Amino acid sequence: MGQDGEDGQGGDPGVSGASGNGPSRSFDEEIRAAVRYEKGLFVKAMLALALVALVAVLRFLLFA
Amino acid sequence: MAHDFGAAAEWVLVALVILAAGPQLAGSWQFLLVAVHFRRNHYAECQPYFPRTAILIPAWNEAAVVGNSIDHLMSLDYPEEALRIFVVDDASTDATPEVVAAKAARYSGRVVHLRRERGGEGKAHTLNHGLSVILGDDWMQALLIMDADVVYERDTLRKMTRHLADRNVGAVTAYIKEGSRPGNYLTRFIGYEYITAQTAARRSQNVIGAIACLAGGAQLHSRANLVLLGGRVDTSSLAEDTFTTFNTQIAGHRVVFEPHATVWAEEPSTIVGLWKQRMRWARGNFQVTVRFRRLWFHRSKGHHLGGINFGVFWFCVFLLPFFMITASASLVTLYFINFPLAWRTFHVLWITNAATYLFITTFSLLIDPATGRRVWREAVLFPGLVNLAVIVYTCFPRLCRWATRDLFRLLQVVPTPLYAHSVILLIYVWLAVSMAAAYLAKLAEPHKFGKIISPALVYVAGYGPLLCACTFSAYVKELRKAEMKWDKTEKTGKAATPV
Repeated sequence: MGQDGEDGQGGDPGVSGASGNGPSRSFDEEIRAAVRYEKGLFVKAMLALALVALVAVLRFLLFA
Repeated sequence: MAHDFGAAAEWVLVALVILAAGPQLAGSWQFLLVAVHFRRNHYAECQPYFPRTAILIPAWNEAAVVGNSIDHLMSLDYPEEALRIFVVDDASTDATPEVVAAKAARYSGRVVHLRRERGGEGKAHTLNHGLSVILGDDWMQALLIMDADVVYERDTLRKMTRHLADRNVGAVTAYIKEGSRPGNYLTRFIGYEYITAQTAARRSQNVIGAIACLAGGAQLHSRANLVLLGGRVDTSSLAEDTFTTFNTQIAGHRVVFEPHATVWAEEPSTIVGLWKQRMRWARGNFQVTVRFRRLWFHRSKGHHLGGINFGVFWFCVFLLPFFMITASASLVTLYFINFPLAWRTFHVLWITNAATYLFITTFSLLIDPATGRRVWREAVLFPGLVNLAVIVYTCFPRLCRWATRDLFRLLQVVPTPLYAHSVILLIYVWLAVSMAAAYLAKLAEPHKFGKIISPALVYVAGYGPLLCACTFSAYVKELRKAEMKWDKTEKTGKAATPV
């Protein structure tokens, strides 16, 4: 429904939007960038966990 | 027999102390879910979608901010003909009517000024006034509810509407960022808090499929959703946005958080202002907890609000002040009846706290590095200087003992056993006492040296305990059935996008 100016399905009158390949490409790129950022968060979470593990090792092996 | 009873009592006390680690562990689990948001999100169902959107702004004495907000909305990256702004002026006594009228004249046909002659009933009533007008004709396909002071980035709205292309989605919310410039210590604490409570917590809520709250400053609804909700928001509580969020999901519509749609808001720069705001939120959450009491931990086919994850997250925040108080009381009791057990239990609690603190703080700063660069000091000191010292001691006890010994030697002080036990007792009670110390920051603020003493107390006692103190106070008010008053947060127009 309501994609790029296509309308009428399900009674959504007058849905407006950019048309043509340009905006659609930019939309796809924007979604890809968002998903890429979210994937980056997985890596960041692992980094944070690695820091916790490092402190735990130091705590229990060296400075207990 | 008496011995058995004593042992059982000791283990109950140990359990009450360990229970205080629950919110931290739940918080860590929530942050681990953020890490899998790339797998469980709504982007696959998004489409470029630009419904005719009505923007509803409730305004009571917002002359300082509403004009700027309207100007920003008019420059959104969104089809001009698909956007209309409805400002509901709630019988303002300042220049709000003139400001809105001037904008209505400037953006003819795109800004509508609605006036309530009898105001002061609260935001929900103001919203309902606008809703009745907007739903009165069929132009509107989507409705954005926002606050008068918030500033939208150019792409925020279209990043939100793309989720409404999926008919299962009833509402979308965005990432509210603290945007006061120049800010102060308190707005920086709030900036960090919003990384954890908004962009992190709501990502995890996307993952479990249950959203706790559509931010009052950025909630986008499909028309179908508003119709399903009866065309009005709840007026019986102080948390109309949370009620709307729950009712949307109970009605079978999905709610989505869009972390890449950013909205900037001016947040309180004084503890008194923050206290008023959080008092409203905490009392609202209390009302939500009671009103939806049959929902918790009861699975339903239509929504995930009754899931274990969501229930645990909700109640860990809801009961946090009580966890802190019972943990302190239990530790002190154990100290007197079984000192070694108290010491071991304390270590288990704080090793857990230290690990979760390290994980959550590091990950939060990495989730939103731009905000993180501005607020990292407040992130580190979020639990307060005393709790931070305990965390450091828990992580590196031998190093801390060396350092303390050297310090005493330098000061030529010989620590006595009495001194050591006093410190231990102080640390045991600190979880609860930190809330009282943070409350003192609120009391001190309006006084002569408040500008120095209050921030110092917040840094020592912690911003987290300050919020807990406010929450505790809100529950007491709620249980005493104190009058519900819509204490509006004062805005001065300091919020700005960074560009």
